[in-house]
Amino acid sequence: MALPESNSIRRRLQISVTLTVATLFTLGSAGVYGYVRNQEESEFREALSQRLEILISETELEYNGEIDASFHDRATDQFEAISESRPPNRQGAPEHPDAVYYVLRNHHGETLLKSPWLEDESRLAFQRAPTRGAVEFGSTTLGDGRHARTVSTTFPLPLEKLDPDETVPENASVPPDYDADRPENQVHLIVAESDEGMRHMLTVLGMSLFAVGILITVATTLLIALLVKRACLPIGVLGSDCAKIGSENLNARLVGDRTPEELLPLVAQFNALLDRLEQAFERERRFSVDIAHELRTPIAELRSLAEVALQPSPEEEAGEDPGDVYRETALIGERIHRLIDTLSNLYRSESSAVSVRNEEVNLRNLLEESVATHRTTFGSTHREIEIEGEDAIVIQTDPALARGILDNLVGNAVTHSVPSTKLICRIARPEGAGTAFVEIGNETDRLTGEDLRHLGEPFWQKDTARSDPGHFGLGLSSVMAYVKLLKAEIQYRLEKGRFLATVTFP
Amino acid sequence: MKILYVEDSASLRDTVSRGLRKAGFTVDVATDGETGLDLALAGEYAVVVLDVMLPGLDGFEVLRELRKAGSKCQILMLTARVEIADRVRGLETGADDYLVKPFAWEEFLARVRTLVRRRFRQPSDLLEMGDLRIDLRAHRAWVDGSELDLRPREFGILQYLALRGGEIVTRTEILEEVYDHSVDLKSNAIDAAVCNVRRILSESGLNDAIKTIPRRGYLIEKKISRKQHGAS
Repeated sequence: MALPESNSIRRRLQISVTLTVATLFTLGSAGVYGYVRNQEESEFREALSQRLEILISETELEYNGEIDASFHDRATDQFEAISESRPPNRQGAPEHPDAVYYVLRNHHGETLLKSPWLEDESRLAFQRAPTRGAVEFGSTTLGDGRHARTVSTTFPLPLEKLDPDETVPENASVPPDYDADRPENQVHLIVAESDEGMRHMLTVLGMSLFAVGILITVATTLLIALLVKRACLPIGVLGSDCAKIGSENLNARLVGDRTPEELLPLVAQFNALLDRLEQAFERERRFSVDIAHELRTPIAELRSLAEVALQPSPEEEAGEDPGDVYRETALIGERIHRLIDTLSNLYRSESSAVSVRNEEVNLRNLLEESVATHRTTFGSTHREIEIEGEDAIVIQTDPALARGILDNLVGNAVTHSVPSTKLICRIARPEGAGTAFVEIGNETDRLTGEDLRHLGEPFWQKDTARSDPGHFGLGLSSVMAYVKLLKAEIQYRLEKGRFLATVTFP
Repeated sequence: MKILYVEDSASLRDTVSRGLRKAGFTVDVATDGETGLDLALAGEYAVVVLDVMLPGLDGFEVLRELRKAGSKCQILMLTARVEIADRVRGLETGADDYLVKPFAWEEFLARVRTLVRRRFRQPSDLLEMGDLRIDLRAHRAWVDGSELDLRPREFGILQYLALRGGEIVTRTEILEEVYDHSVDLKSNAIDAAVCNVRRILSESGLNDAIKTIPRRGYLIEKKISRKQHGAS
């Protein structure tokens, strides 16, 4: 069965890896862009500040009361030269991409000097006049529509310095006690410069990173799809191999030759599961066959008995004696009754519907009682029985269930032992173990090691023909159920032609 | 008609063999696979009814050995195993029919009779031989419409000779097919019974319908008519 797409490992891997790559690249790009932008802006501000410093250093007050600013003279010359050679832009100013824009104002806000390129000086207006010494950065739009960064400051307008051989002119309009530090002698300077170049470079960088990001994401998606497909191929093969295994070919196993090592434990576990499933199916099949035999045969006997009795007999032959028919019917009915009772008890025991009533029980006495019930059979087959071990082993257990265990084990030993051989039962309490055990051993020439695995399976009998109508093969299943109820343990083993069943009681 | 029934359940073995005898068959029984195989190979059985779960050799193995030995007898597997795989296995190994326990006695008998007919290539229970008509199922026989008064053993002999119509049937074959070894071949029980059948047929107008072939056995022609065998 195909998994829905949303549950596909391939799809999930592909989406998550693609998203991860895209996210990492976006974050990386944003980092690079942010860093470059920060650097550029920092450098731009640095350059603007330096220009501001230069302009300040070139500004002084002459004794005649005029402002002496050599940069203004240079700018005016440059402006006039360019104006003659180039047509004005749409705002009327000549084109000069590197032109510096500035405005110098006195403390009343009156313009003292302004850049010749600046037609509208209000574009370099203060939001708030900076305090003396403070440098404030801002932005504006120039007359030609370009974006620009501004820097402004307030500084004391210095009086021109006289050479040592010069004296103060007689017509000096500057008062002799001129103090540049007075507020009225302080001026404000705003310098602006277009940052279009930097902005363009940042835009190009951003677009480039975005385009590369898209390209890398698409390429990564395709590459990852290919890689994930290749990586998931063994999973697909494994899934397809698993899908081929059904109830009709449970003997099939997954082959790990080309399976990646990460999946090998899964393959091993799956194969182990199949082993157990196959065994369970086989047990179930055997159970069905056996129960069919155990029930169908007596029913067939009853039905045939009745129907044959109803058939007319030839004239010269006497018909059945009704007494014989009734006796036979009663025997078959009793056998079915016993089977149903045993099955019912087994079911109750296995489903823990039997209550356990523990009391002090002398293990030897219990075993002797059990052995006594089988004495007649021992006699008829010339077997001997011997009980070894301590007399006074007392345990806390349910006497009825414990007796059920011993009856079944002793009965089995008697029935299946080699004629004229000895049955040995041992009772012991190992020192310090806190447990006591009963071991029942008999000579056997039929059981094999493989048979031990099936002991305890319902209806399992060594005799596959199930010819003995007195046995159903449920005795050891009952023993297993009782052992579980009593929290005891049972072990079967073969030693030098002897079959040994050991029950350890807690 | 002789049938071998191999079954380990004593109760079923006794009941079924008794029922088959009531139905006019001669029955031998075996309680395990090896004995069953030995008997089936040694005797001429029209039908072998074979259980599957047998001590020693199981039913499938007995079946395989029988077919390997070239046995042509009809084999009916009668078993408690209900799985399709078992039925297929039985039929593919060479069984002619497969019946699951428990079964209806009438159905079992019908299947056995069908196998007997098949054994003698007889398409129905009604055997028409000119003026002689035999109902294999009802165990009745008529000559030109009037019923013959035959005892079971006599009917068995007539039925067997008729089924083998046109062939010489030896006294040993009659002994094996009609008698379950209850008479000695050296005794004259078979000759006496054949003589009785011949007499009954004569009384109905069929003189010498059963011919004696010296030192070989008996013969009934496939077509018998009162004109041909009528009283002179």
